[in-house]
Amino acid sequence: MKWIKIIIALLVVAAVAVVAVRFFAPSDSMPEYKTRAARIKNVEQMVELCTADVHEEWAVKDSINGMWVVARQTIDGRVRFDLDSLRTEQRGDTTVVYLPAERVDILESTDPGAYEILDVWDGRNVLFKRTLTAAEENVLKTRWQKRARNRIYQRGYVREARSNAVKSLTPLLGAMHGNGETIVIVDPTPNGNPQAR
Amino acid sequence: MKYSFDKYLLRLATVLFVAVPFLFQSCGERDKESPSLEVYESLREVSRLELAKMTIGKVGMVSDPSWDDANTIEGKALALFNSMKVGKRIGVYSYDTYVTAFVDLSKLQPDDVVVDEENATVDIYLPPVEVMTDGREPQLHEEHYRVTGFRSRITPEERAALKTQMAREVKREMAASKASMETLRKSAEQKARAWISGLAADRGLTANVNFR
Repeated sequence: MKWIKIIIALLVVAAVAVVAVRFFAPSDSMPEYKTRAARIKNVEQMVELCTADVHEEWAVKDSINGMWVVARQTIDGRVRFDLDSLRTEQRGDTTVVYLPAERVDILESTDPGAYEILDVWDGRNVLFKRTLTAAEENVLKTRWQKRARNRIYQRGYVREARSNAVKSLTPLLGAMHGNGETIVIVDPTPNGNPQAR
Repeated sequence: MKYSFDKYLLRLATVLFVAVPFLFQSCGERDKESPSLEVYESLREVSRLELAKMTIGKVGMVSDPSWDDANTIEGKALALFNSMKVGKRIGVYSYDTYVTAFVDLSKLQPDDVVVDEENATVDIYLPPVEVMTDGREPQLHEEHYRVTGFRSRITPEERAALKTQMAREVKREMAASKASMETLRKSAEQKARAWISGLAADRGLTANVNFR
């Protein structure tokens, strides 16, 4: 009986201490999460031409398995062309170069607060509410990535990026081939291919 | 007198009309014929040429603060309070950040490209390799999750806060890690040399690519 009283007293003291410290301590004294030092996974060489940068902040409301979420996300999108995979064709004294398929990369910005949860609620259960799991959140984020990619196509950024790529590469390949040879850059898909990665 | 002045003006106009286009044409041809200028202008058009990419992984954890790890009074109080709770609460998460090394060819100067047609060589002085953070993976991978007893589940707000902290640390660690940035720069320089040398070889030139 005596031990139970001591344990209860300790619990009360600890609870009061937590409440008091939370109330009086400045907000930046909150304990940080444990992390491991960043690790380089790989370094990869490539030759890519980047002709469009998109920086966008948007609020999104979406649901999965009855769980609703409202979030704010900042994304960085880029349209790139792999110059190592340029396909060429010789037609007489003319070299035809085909502009490769674009790669549209959609990533989350690394700026502070690039992803913020504004509200989450369980739309199905009133009593035994659950939380949004990491797996569900990842499904939503993949869905948002696809939407962001589609927006980039719809707004004509890819078309513009492809046109810029042709303008950039024409003088370069022309100058580097020289010797009176004619270089023609052909864009087989001026609007791009939204199905390509 | 008036007649002769008009005649003089007419002659001058005729001479200018005939000669000026020739003068401009010859200047244009001289520029067009300068292989150094041609190569310089063509490279400059490319602007941002990306040459190497680094993937950086970071792991973070949502868990109860332990007494030993807590540095503040609040941390110690929370550690004490949490140790009395029934059950365990831990979640381990990871994500990747991408860093790209590139050369901004719009920063090339006319003197940076010298073509020597007699010896079939081209000397190119490229601007320094620059590094930028491309972005991070939107998804957060759950490597481990164990919430037992009467403990509350890990919330999306906690995961978002963890990711913000991890992103801040990645930036700081990368800025401090000169060796890894040097590795990325060297890799980009190597690729730039190989690619530009290949292009120059198509024109029958041996390229000597240096960095400013």
